[in-house]
Amino acid sequence: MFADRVKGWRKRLRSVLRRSAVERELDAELAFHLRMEEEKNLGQGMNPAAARRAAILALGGIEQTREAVRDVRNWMWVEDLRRDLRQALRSFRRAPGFAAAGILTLALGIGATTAVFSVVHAVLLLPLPYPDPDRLVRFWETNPAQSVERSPVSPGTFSDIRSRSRALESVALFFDRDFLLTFGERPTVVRGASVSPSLFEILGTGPVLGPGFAPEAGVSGGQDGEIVISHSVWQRHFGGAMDVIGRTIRDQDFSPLTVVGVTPAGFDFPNGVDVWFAMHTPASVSAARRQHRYYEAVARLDEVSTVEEARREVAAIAAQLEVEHPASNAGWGVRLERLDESVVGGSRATLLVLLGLVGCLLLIASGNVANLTIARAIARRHEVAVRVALGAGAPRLFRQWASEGILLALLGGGAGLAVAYGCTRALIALAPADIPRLENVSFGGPVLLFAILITCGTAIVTSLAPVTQSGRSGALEALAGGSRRTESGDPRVREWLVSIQVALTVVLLVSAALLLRSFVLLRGVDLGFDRHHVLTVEVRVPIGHFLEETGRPWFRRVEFYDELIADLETLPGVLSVAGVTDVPLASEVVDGSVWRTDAPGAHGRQSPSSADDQWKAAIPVVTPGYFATMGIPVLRGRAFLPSDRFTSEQLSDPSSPRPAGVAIINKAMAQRFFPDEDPLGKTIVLIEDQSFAAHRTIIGVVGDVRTRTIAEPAAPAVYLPFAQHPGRGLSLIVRPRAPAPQVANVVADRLREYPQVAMSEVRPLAGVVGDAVSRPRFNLLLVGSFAILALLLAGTGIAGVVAYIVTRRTNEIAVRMALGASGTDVVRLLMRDGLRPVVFGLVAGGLIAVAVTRALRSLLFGLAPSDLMSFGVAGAALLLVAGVAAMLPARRAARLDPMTAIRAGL
Amino acid sequence: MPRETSDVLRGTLDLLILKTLSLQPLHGWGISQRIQQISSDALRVGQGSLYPALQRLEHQGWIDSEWGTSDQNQPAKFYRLTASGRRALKVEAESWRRYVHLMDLILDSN
Repeated sequence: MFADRVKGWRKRLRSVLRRSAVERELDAELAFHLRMEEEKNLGQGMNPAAARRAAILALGGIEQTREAVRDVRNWMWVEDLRRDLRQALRSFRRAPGFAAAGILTLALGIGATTAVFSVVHAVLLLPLPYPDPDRLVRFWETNPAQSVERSPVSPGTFSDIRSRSRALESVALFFDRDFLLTFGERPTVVRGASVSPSLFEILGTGPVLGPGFAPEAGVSGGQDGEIVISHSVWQRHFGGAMDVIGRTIRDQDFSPLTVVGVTPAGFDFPNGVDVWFAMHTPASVSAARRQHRYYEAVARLDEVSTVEEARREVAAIAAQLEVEHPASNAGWGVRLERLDESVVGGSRATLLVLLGLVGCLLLIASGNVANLTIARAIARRHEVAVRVALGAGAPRLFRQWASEGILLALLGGGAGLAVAYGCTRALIALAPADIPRLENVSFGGPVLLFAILITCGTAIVTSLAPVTQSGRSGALEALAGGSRRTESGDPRVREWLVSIQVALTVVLLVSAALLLRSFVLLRGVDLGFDRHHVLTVEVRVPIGHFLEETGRPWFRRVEFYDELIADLETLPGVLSVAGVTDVPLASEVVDGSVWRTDAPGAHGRQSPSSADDQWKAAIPVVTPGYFATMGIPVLRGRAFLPSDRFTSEQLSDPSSPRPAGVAIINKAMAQRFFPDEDPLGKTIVLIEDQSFAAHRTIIGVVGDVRTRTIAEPAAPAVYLPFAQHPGRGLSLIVRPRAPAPQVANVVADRLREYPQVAMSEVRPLAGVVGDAVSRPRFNLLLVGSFAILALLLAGTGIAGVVAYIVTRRTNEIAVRMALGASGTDVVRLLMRDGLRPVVFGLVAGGLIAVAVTRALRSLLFGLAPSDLMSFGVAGAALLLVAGVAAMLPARRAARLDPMTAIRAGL
Repeated sequence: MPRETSDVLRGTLDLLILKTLSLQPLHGWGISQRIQQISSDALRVGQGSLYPALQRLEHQGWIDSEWGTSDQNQPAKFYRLTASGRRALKVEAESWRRYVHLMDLILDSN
């Protein structure tokens, strides 16, 4: 009988796919019908013409008939659908608990998955907003021997690549940093970039206002007074005035910068900058400059080359440079990557892992709903048996269950979209700042399509699940059983579902446990300083102020910060204040070059002949109270004193010989570069320091401080006293006498009284540290939520299966108890059966987790993906929840009164 | 008959067709003649109702069709009842009888 149904469906399909053939058949039928009617009329004595006319009249219009048949064909689909859905809706209203549970569970699974996908789509799948983004590449220098994977390039390498490369059609340099500009009265810190003028052309973006930079701009070296501003700066500081071109902004030294262009809204290459300066790279570069590696590089491939070809070409050029300039380039290679890959960077791994894990959650949720529909189908066996006995065909029942499953999925999917919307907002709010392109997240076409696809997938699962139960319908048996509690049907499907759910839950739990342990380890790292209760604030003063005040700006700067720090230390509640150029974990750390004065080949400013003797180190500049205020231990020698200073002549007169200064190194530097000797008393030279000091004597060694990221161990560092190297502005570190929230306000208020100061917010240093762990925390939050949800869902599923086993075996239990089995025996028996699929799922899940968690490797800190403790904890948590979930229905069964149960069952 | 939209009347025609085909397979014209015959000419089924109904019944799997030759050796599409159609006839006939009985009760009550 089902075969008849299928035949009917095939005909329906044929009428859609082979429409013209079917219509021709109909025409033939109608023609036949007409002719028969004609013949009948002829037989009744009419003449041929009258017979034909009478026949046509009697039968009605051919075209109307064709239309009517066509309509039936079209409307049948819709009618059937409407009927099924209405029926499904009615049955949901009779079982609102089931419907609500199913819709909620699906909404959760579909919503969470769609939310994660919308982020994945915006960050990983959307192409970059530049024309032809596949042809944009970035390149870096590499030095495998020194473990350098992506170093900024030197101008020498850059100009040689520019002139020798054929595959790279045009190249540009850039580096971004903070600029201190004055738009109106107070100075502001603005993120800006010095760029080759060709940058805008490479990215295919021209200014919306103004001419922009000329191709030869920047030739005079440094900023020649021209600036391009971003759309948001134009709005914020110039009110969007149309006459902004030609207006001036004051640079740090108060020299005027003329606005020559405004970029389109949303353009912020690189790294979210707001202003651009032109920078020129000469064709030939001195040998010394070949060693200054601080520029980033971007390029556009020409029409015919591929990324692979360009990669090989620059590697070859790098090899040539190693031979031509061994002093600067020996051991250095060049690495080339597509721009879109480098923008996304490490976020790719994180996002893909999250997508995979949320997919597990979706599967678990679908499994739960499938379980629900099966349970419902089983509970209605009696009703089904009656209907079958009265003549309803199995196909009709299938269709009813299928439409219920589909309706459930549709409603769940619709609710899921709302959940997805909320989850996406939450995701964006919680996301670490270093996940790029989040502003592109939207609920557009591809995301909706994805939601529809997974809704269809779950619809298939939920509508087919009950079908697995009706294979052994045994209607008569169900009727004869009499009691509503007699259930037949195959429990194995439900047990399999539970096993699968448990396995997936294990994967999520293990992932969450790994991330949790990793996070705890990360938070437990000794940073090398005491961050508790300490505040930090950036304080910048344009050097123009100091120039205005005296002719000796460097010295004036030292005096200014001395006065400022002394002033702040008089504030009530403040214990000590110190300054540093780079706050650990907050600022970017730029490395400098250092060498010992007694290295072979080194003489004055001449660097040593061997590249191995040129060390890379961070060069933080600090005030004397820094180590004490930050709680950094002084291991050998001493900290800086106020007497470690240069006079105003030494600082400000460029013609006078550079004095000798002092420096303090950290433990990492001492261990790496002075392994077998006492560093105290040795002298070193720093390239970046050469305008202030000729060389420096090491007077102390301090403990290591993690500066770049919490995960990276401290790199070598050379501390300089600010009073001997006032080259940059400082951030202040404030330690209060006692922890008190109002100290921040007091400090901020006092700073605001200095009109020449551009200050950031006064924030706790602990907050800065918190930002540094924002990504691991985000991962943990998300995966942890998935794992907890999965645990709850799996627990419900397990409870359901055990409850089902109980009802199936009520008679047996009752008999056992009547024969003397105790409650505990019954519970043990039921739990053993109920937990069998759980144990199976646990083992399977553990094995899958071992394979799958390898993908987490890049997200973990301090442990391997095969960490036994995490697996153990996850397994224990699951067994605990499973045990509780199984015990509840089991105990209820044990409390049955055997006599009542037997009577009801027989 | 004008195009039917109500379930009841549409069901009536379906029932008639099923009943007619339960006696022997027929082509479309044959069905319309037989219905006319049995109802003593009271019911005339036009093409505009018959063929849509036949298509509907065929798509539901209650009747099957195949091309054969008529008495006059003309090609014609013959319809026959399927097993599920036979069952459906029984069910529909039963519910029709119940319906008529109910209507009688209501209409006869005061």
